[in-house]
Parts: sequence; structure tokens; C-alpha cells
Amino acid sequence: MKRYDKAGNNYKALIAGIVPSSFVDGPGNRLVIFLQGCNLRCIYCQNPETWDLTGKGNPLCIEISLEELLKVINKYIDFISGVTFSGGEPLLQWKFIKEFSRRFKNLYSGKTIIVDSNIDVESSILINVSKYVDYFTPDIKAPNPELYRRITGGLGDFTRLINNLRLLNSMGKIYEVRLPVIPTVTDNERVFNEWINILKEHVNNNIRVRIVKFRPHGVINNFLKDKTVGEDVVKSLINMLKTNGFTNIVYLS
Amino acid sequence: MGVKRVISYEKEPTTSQQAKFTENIAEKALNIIRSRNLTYHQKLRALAKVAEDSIPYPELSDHTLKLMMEGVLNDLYEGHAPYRPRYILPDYMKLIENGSKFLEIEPPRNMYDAIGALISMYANVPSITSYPVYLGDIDELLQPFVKTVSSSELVNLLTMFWKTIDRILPDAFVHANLSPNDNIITRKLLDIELKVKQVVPNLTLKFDLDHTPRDLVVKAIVNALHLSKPYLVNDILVKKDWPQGYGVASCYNILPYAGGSFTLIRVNLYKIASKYNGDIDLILRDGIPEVVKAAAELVEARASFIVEESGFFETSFLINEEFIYENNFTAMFGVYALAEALEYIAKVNELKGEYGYDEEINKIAIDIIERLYNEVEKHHIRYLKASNGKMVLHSQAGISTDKETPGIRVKYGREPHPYNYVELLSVMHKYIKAGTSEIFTFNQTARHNPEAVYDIVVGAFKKGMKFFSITSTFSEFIRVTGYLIKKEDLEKFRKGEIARHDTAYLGAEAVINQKVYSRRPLGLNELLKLGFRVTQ
Repeated sequence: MKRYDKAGNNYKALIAGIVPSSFVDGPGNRLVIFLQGCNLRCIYCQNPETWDLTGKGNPLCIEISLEELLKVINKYIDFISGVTFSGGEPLLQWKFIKEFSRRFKNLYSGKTIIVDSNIDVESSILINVSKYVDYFTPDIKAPNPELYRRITGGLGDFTRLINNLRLLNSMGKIYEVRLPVIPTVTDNERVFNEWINILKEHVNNNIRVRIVKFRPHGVINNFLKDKTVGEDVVKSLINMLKTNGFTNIVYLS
Repeated sequence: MGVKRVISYEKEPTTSQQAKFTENIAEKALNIIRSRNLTYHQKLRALAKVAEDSIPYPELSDHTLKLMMEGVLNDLYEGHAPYRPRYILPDYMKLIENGSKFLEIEPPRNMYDAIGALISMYANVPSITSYPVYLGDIDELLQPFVKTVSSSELVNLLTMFWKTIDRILPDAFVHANLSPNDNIITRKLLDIELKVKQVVPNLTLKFDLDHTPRDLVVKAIVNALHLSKPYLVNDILVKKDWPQGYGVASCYNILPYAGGSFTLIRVNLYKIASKYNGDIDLILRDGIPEVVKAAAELVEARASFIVEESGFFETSFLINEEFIYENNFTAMFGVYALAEALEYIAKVNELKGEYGYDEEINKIAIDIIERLYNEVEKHHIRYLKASNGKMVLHSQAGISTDKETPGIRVKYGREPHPYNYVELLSVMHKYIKAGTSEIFTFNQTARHNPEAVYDIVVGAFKKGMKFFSITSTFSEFIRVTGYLIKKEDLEKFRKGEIARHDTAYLGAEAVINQKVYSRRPLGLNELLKLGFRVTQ
């Protein structure tokens, strides 16, 4: 995978798509760039076509140069608070993100860059891109090593996730933490309690917490077919968070 | 704004001209008196209208009358013998500074005086609806007195003020403005709006991109998502249109301050298109000049009647005490049903595209509006001194009986993505000086992220849009054409109960006729469903 590394002055990224307007990927209206390739294989993933590092199996995947991407963004710049990188795991292409963000910040002061990462990556990468990236929106897919491993298709490193969560929290770089409520997997009180303990231990209690309820479109795993999470279940998580002092909660039913 | 006082016995109103010959005045009056779903004051105004319409219409050429009969051109049932301008925007600051001799009001010395003075004055400002359609920049009017009361008294007084306006002026065309400046009055009023949840007064915030603070505008947007108001006006651009100052009155009429508009006539663009069989060259060459000429005649006849016959400008205390000036009046040339016109043109010419999406169709829309503007500029009309003798273009938001799409809007439920809609509208807004109100409907995702709506408004204003109207899928009120109704009043209407607000009837009728509920909400989920995930 050399394509997105520096080649002369020419930075390129492999992208799975662009959404020119999103209200749910950070503060304000944002243009979202989905980068191709992921290091995890989450069992509830809604866009598994973004997994492959070379874009195989994703007909929408294209290679785009940094200049081309800036041109696209310039069309929408008056309408957005900034750009969000999502994926796949966007930080697999961190060199591109870093250079893009540097250029973007030079061009548009006041606009922000957000990276929607699983933060299960080398800490040095987070430190490296943080110079130009305003915030991250990590998710805590599961609150313990066993479940985390299971959910991420056996590839996740829970210790690394928690270390990075602490790191970003100490740098003030977390915009919001996301808790994915997945039927039969993370939709029970035991998990909720563990989640809250993780939050209490590792992040500030004024942190913005977004509850992401599982929606069954695009998912490949059969065991999740036709399964949903009840509103009452989400409500109980919200209540538990509130009782524990986390009041900045976002949930779209 | 387009208010037809809908009276229960008159579901399908004929034109004023036809009515003149056919109606039996006594019978009409008796029907009004016997009505079981009008309040006393509603009856009183309906009776006045019957009396007015018993007078012959100002003289018009046969050609103009024919266009009115055909429904191409109409006067929005303003009445046969206008005795006050349709919209009046008094300089209320003068009342704050000098009081009023006629009303025996001393210059206010404290917040109590000021609010009392304003309420007294509002009750004495006429309009087409007989209620004042403009209440002034409330924050600027009251700001000088903030220090005369404690902060809790201030909130109590403003709440009383707001509730009183709704109870004594129960008409959703009554429209208050907020200046682009940040101040405590504006912030408190926005809080009170969320608490009292009234459709009256209608509300506009003037948004100066360079000076109005971001957090104030976001606060206003939060209100708009819940209440469908305030409406946002691009202060920098609109000030250029009206160097003498402006106000937003009734349903999104942007008009000269200390003046107003004699009349609002409107043309049905669909009817022009069908009259010329969808031939775009003929529509532009003959259709538009024909209707603009007739409109100019109609406006001149009506404005002249007000000035020369009614004596309004000789006798009103508003004139005598210089709250308004005759020189600050204009007249509005409203257009509507652009969407239907384009649909028809596309069908006849076998064009595949759709308005809002297709470049060729959008270009035709822009050509029509541009042509209208250029044609309107050719006609000089006595008395329209606020606008150099010219009528001013207005994207007319419709009346309750319309089945057509208001103004220049894309059809309900077919609104394109905001970026594309803005691009299209900003070109047309250049030509439209007297107000327009395309509605942007947001979904739940905006509730947690009102800054996102702010971003879109800023983008729209930077691109040249002059006005931005916000509503949401979770709003408590329904924005109908340019005004609001409560969802519960809609139910009352369905059950045939009396509603306190005049506009509840109009609103209910419009919701049914215009499929208001089918407006398309905007948010990420919808975009993804639409396949909006694009690769470049």
C-alpha cells in the first residue's frame, strides 16, 4: 500500500466516497470523506465494502489527489464547519490526512478537521496528526477486552484503545465518544455498567456521549438479521449515564 | 402575503369583478351574521368587506379585466375601494422618541411606558387585515429602557407584552422584527417565544453576516427548528435594496421603513405558460410583457384610489405625525406557481428534466424571473415613490385556496439538496426585492446540531440568498405559506370549531390544498437514501 504515501509532492488517497453534507459527523455541517481500508472487521459493520485496503469489492472506490480533493471541498466551503474523515479506518492513511489537514487549515482558517477513527492504531499516529486535526470521535465498541476482540473480528487491541482514549482525553482532542448499542452484543445492563466505568475512569464527565443504535442495513452478519434494539433499552442506558454524571448525551431515535 | 379572508360560505371565491355583478349584498351580509364559526370581530371585518365590495371596482381596461377573469392576474381580494395601504410599516422609533399627539402618548420614560405606548399604537395601525402587519425592530425600541426595570421584571413585562400582542392581535400576519444587533431584549424574547408557544407574532431576525454574533443566530435557529420562526433575513443584501431602511411585514414582505406597500397584485405563472401553450419564446416575448402591463394598470388604479379618493394620506395621524411618508410607499408585483409553469413547459416541449434538478429547466426559471424583472422596470407608476415609480418583485407565498406552489419554490416534497436549492434561489433572489420565503425543512439530526443549520444559512447568504426560512419535522407549528398555524388549530378547523386566530382557517385550508405535510426534510439519512453519497 504505497499509493497514499508521499510520492514526490503528490499525495493521493484511496476514498470510498464523499458526503457533501452531514449533520452527525461533528460540530456543524460537515463534508465527510470516507477513506478506503480498515484494520478491524467489526461484526456489525454497515459498510464492509470499505474494508479492503486496495478497494477490491468496492466499485465506488477511487484514488484522488490532494489537489483534486481540495477542489471538491472548495465548492462547498461556505456551507461547512469543516471536513470529517471517516472510513474504513481513516488513520490507515494518516500521512494523507496530516498533509491534507495542514493545507486545508492554511487555506481556511477557522474551519475544523475531525477524524472519525476507531483509535485502535499506534499512539504515535494520533500524536502526529493531532497537530492539524481538531478532534477525534472515537467509539468504544465494547467495554472489556474479550467482548472488544469478539466484536472487532478478533483484530482489536483493547489496551491500545484505552491508552489512546486517555491520550486524546488528556490532549483535549475528543469531540464525542460513541457507544454502539448492538442487539444481543452490547444491549445489556452489564455492558452499560462497564461502559460507564470506562468513561468515569478515562475521560472527563462533561464529555459528549453519542449513543448509536444499531440499524440493520448494509450488515453482512446473519445473526443480526431482523434484530433491533428497543427504545426502552436505549432509554435505560441514557438514564444510567445521567445518574453517573454524564449529561451531555446525544441520541437520535 | 395574500390574505383572502375566507368566509365559510365562500369556498371557491370568484374574482372581485364577477362577484360585483352576481352577489346579493344583503344575503351575503346575513350569511356572515348567521355564521356559527366566526367570532364577532371576524364577522365585523367580513361585513365591512361586503360593504366595500358593493362599490364598483376602479376603472380598468377590458384587456386587464380579461386577464383577471382568466385568473392570470389577481388582486388577492383586496377589495374594490381600498381605503388604506395594504401594508404599513410605521417608524415606531418616533413614537419612542416623541410619543404621539393624536394618541395622547407622552414620550416613554421607562419600560412600562414604552410597552404601553407600543401596544396602544399597534391597535391604531391599519392594514389589509385591519391588524398591524409590522411591529418594528422590537429590541431597538425597548433597549433604551432596559435599565429602568430589574431583570425579573423585564422578563415578566416582555412576557406580558408578547401574550398581549397575541390576544389582542390574533392574526399570524402580525409580524415583529429583531435587529441584527445583540442585546438582552432579543435574547429574552427568544426564550419567551419557546415558553409561550404562540403563532403570533410572526418573527424575523435580521442577520448581518459581519456583526450578528454566531451564538445569537444559533439560538434563533434552535427556536426556528421548534417553532418555525424566526425567519432570517440577509441584512447586508436587503439594506442595499432598501437604502431608506426596511422592515419585514406580514408573510415575508420586505418593504420600505416608514412607508409600505399600497397593494399586492400577483400573477399565476402557470396560467401564463398555459395561455401561451408552453412556448417559452412566446411566454418571454409576449406573455410576460402583456401581464406586466396589465398589472401596472391595476396597481396604478388601486394606488391612485387610496391616495386620491380615500383621503388616507390627508387624514391619518400616521402621516400627520410622520410615522409614515407617502414617499416611502411602493407596490408589490407577486408571482407564484413557477413550479407548475415549468412542469407544463417541460411537458409540452418534451423536456425530461425537473425544476430544482435539471440545468435546462432551472435556466428557464431564471429566464422567466429575469424577464419579469426587466419588464416591471419599464413601467413607471405614479405614487410608487419609494421604488422610483417601479413595482417591486415579490415571490408570493400563496393563499389558502391555492393548489399551486407558492412563489418560486420547488414543489413540496421535491425540494433539492440545500446546496443545489441555494444555488438556484440565490440567482433568482437578485431580482426579488420585496420578499420571498422558500422553506428549508430539517430533520432530527438538526436538533442536536443547530450549528449545522447555521452553516447552511451562512453559505446561502454568502451565495446571495436574501431570505431563509427554517422549519423541521418536529416543529410544533406548521409554516403554511408565510405564516404559522398550530397543529391543534388544524384539528379545530377539521371539527368545525371556532378558532381565535383568523389565520387558523386559512392555514387549515392551505395545509389541505397544498400538501404542506409532504415537504422533504433534510438530513444525512435522507441523503444517503437518495444515493447522495457521491464520488468525484
